[in-house]
Amino acid sequence: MIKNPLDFSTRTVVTISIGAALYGIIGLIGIPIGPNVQIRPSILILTVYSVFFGPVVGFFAGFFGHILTDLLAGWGLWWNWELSSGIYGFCAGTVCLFKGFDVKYGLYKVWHIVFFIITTVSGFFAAYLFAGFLDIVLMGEPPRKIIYQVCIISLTNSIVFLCFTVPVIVGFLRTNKKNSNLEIED
Amino acid sequence: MSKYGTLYIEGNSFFHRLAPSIKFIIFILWSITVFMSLDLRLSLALLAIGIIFLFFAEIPFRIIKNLFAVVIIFNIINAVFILLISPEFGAELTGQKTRLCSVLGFPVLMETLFYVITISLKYLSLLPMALILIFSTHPTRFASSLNKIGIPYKIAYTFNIIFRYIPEIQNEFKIISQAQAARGLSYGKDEKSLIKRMKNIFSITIPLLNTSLERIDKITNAMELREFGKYKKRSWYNESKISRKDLLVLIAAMFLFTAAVYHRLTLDSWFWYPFK
Repeated sequence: MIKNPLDFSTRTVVTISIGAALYGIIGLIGIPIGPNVQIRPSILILTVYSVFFGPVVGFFAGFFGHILTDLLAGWGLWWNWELSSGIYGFCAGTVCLFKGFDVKYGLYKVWHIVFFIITTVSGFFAAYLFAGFLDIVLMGEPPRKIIYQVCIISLTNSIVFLCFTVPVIVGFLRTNKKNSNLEIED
Repeated sequence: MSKYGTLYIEGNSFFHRLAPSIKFIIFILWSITVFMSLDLRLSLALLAIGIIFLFFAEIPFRIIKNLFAVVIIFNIINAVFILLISPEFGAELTGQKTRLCSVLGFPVLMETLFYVITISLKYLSLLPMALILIFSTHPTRFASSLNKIGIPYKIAYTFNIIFRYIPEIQNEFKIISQAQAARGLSYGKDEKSLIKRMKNIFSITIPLLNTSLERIDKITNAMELREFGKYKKRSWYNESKISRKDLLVLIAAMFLFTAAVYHRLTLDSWFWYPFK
């Protein structure tokens, strides 16, 4: 559990930076599976950072990391899509606000995982709907096309998330549980 | 990529000398101007100005050519999708229907075609200023300039750490992917099965994650030993002072921006369509 999610300590600053740097660099790698659609492993990094360190770190790591991807690729800065990464990171991190959930010590219950899956999948939809909505308002894209786009991206991302990311997170939780049978007393 | 791990290109052009915070503000004003309307004339004008700016910023032509090619390909795919999914959108915007021809049974409206050209140029017109910002701003000045336009220094400082650790992370990525390649795992084209490729790329990502988590502790300790975050304000090694010239540029940009806003307010619709 994250005690105070708004606490901006030195550790938070460093965590955000390292998360963003990793997310940004790995964001350049993608396996094309169709026109303008890629499967990116970077989303795994963002999810892990969100689950480890909470929603605020997730938000900034996603936002800054995506800015970094755009800076490195040089195809311009697209604010709405960068913010959408931040929103996704935020949603994926909300599970950290629960007492009794801590990846570091492998503390979790099954409903935490279920909650995590629900928030993350809805996070995909929220993030891409937000970006798509701003594309309609700011760029003047046709709404129907954006709805199709948002659905396709969110669904493919959710499938990749369920197949690859959830096992990784559960794996982290279980390996960390093995080496922590000591309890913290408050 | 340069030795900073980013796309920054050293130079001494007008844009290189301009204070980064001013460049940032100009970029934001530029984006707002583009977002305000769906106007072919405005996009063309901004694109022309942007290309002149790019020429002044002394960014090598071969790089710009490639990046423009990427965005143009994106635009073509985007345009095809628009024509396929909502072929009537132009008619909705303008309130009139002119059938040009039909391709494979799909009617192509002149309004939609005009709209597609407009929106493609709108995307393109956002590009030049972003490129100038990316190519002519030294990465370590980025953080101080963000701090200067009002972002708290703890958030701005993350960019300093990010840029400092890009080369290290790239190095680590290389080492891990080579170690995995020695085990026969490849994420490149030589692995035929798509699912295996995906699995392999994840098997590189996870060690990278683990080492990065360890790194956080080290950097935090080092920074805390130096009392990072003790005071409300901080100074920057790479701080750039805003000179009178910078202020003049800012005032000129503001003036042009107000002119653009005024021009937008005189129009009754945000979509400009000449063939009424």
